[in-house]
Amino acid sequence: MKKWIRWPGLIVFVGVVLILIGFWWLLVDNMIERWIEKGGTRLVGAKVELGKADLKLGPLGLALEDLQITNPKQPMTNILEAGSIDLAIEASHLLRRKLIVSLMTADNLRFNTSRKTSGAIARKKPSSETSDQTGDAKSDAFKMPSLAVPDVKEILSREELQTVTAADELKKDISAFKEKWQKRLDELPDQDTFEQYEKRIDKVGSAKKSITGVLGATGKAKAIYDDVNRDLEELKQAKKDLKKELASLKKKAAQVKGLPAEDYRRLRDKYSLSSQGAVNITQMLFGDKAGQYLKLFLDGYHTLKPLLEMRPATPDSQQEAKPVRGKGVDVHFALGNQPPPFLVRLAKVSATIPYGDISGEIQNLTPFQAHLGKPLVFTFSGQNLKGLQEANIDGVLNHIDPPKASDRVTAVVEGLKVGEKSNQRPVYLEKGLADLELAAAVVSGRIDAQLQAAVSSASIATAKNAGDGQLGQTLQEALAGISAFDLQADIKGDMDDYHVSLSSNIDDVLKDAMGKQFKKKAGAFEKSLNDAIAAKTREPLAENSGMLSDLNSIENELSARLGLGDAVRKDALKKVGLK
Amino acid sequence: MIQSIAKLLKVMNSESEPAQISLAVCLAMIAGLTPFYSLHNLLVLLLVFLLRVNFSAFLLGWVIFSGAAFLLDPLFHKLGLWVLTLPALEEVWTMLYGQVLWRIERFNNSIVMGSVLLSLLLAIPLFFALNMLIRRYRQHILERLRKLKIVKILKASKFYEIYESATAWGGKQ
Repeated sequence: MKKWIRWPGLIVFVGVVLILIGFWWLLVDNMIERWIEKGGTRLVGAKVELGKADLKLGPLGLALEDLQITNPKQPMTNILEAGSIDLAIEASHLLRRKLIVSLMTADNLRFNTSRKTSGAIARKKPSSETSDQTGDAKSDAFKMPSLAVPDVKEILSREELQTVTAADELKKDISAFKEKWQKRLDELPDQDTFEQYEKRIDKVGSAKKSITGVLGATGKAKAIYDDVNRDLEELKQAKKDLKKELASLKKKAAQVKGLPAEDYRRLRDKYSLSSQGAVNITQMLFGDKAGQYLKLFLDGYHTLKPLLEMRPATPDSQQEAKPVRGKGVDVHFALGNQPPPFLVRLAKVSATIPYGDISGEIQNLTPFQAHLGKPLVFTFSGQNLKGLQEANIDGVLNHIDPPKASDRVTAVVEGLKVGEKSNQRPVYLEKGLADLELAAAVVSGRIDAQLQAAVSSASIATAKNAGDGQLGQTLQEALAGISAFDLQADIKGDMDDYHVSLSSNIDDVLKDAMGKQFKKKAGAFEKSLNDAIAAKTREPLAENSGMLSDLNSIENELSARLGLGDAVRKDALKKVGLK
Repeated sequence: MIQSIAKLLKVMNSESEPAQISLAVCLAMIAGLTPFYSLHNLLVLLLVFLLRVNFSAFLLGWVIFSGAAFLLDPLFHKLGLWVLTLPALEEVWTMLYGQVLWRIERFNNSIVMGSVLLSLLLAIPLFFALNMLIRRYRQHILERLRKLKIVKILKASKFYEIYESATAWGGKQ
């Protein structure tokens, strides 16, 4: 046996192995650093830089320092900068090619820090100009209300009154009617026609001196009687037609008479004073900020969402792939309760935000939630910050089933100093102390968020150009009296088509204060508008009324002719002795 | 290459035990046919260093079998895939799949599995066959070769110088 064993060979083997391990140990930190930078850059789409990586073996861990992740949309800004990140790695899973971190401690995290050099990667244009694809908040722009009374004369010179137009049309109709009936009257039997009948009757009367004369006269009288009857029927029909057409014309005239009231309502609604602008003062005070924060939130959400819904590249079940020469294929076997390829079971984070330092914990941090079967849970808090007394934020991001993803965040902020120095807008919140409560949920792509804010020690300032003189003064006086108010913001809808509504009790205060003035001014305007419309429409209406009265003479004429005809008919009967 | 052949001849003609040469060739076959960065090759190297096997034979065999491995890759892949997907063995593979050591070994790779399996299957018959061949070579062929004219000419050539120097490097095998 001794002949077969070469003990010095063992020493050489151990030496060779130790040398290899030594080389690995010297190079491994750089390898990890490169791997993180390269992989991170590919994942983010912008430079990811790492100051230092240090692998520790007992217990297995990794310490990262000065990690900078560039914002791909703004290459001169880091989306995240981390002072130090310590990872306690579960070695058993690492050997199975899974990075499972039992505890991650991240200190001195900072967001949106500026970079010295651009973090853009080649062939990738900075997309800072790209438009917001998350949809626009549908909120109305604010307009300061005005107390300036519109000039009625100017309005009437600019606006066309329906009354005048309709009166002109009616006038034309009446003229056409009159002309038409004048022609018809000419065609109808008249006094001359009936006088002719009288003469014929007289002739018949003088012919009744013999028996044959009597018989002939009776026949002629019957013929005259029939002719008169036919003419009378014609006149009766004409009178009937006239009545019908006249009724239609009178109905139209009555409608025209009602048009001045309609003209008044239309112009009053268009030009009248309204205090609606004052009611939307909340939109002016907080609309921009709400829009900014919402955009920030939605940008972050859209960036984060795909990172929570990844699926491991290697399937759980057996799978064959096309073999690469010299590489073969890996056959995978189903194992129960295996962790995903990457998981941070618990992350303890301290971060620096503009208000100061906050700290918190994140559980189940993994892009493979569907594999893990547990949602990401986070909680952050900060006390005695700059301009902020206390803040607590917690939430659950559940993307286990991506189509039914459900994310919920609640935040309570106390003693937040709010306010701005701005003369850009006529009204702005100069200072105040806000207590906020936010409850937001994004479920299956629909956002539903409510923000309740109670602002105390408030000072709402007005610019010199806030409304016209009288209104500005009223506005200032009303706002000066407001030292506390409540604000409510509601956001509802699809992620790319949501609606934001802001309301506060400031609106009620202003509505009360300004409403009376608006009402008084509006009353005066409405009266003068009404008078002006009446004056402008009086003449055409009166003219039409006169013309319409004239039409009665046609009816009278027809009645007279009917009377004449009837008398002739009776005379004809009498003359032939039939009556 | 000439040096390697010279070394091989020296080994064949030396007083070394045939088993030392045969085992070296068998270990070289395992290391050469299978992917180099595999856990089992660490064990092969340990055996090469620890056991008194012929190092020259191992190195030469390793070079030859590594070349052959490229040609045999398709065979290894088919064999490995067939074994790994055998329903009867699925439970065994699943059990091994859950163990760290076997995952480091990458047993679930078709070429690793195929090459290890084939080289292990060939190693035992190869060991005995080589033992027999080396003994027969020494008994029947070596003396006859020495008497050949061509060998005498070669002894006067550069090749023989190399052979001699190889003997010097190799020391007592």
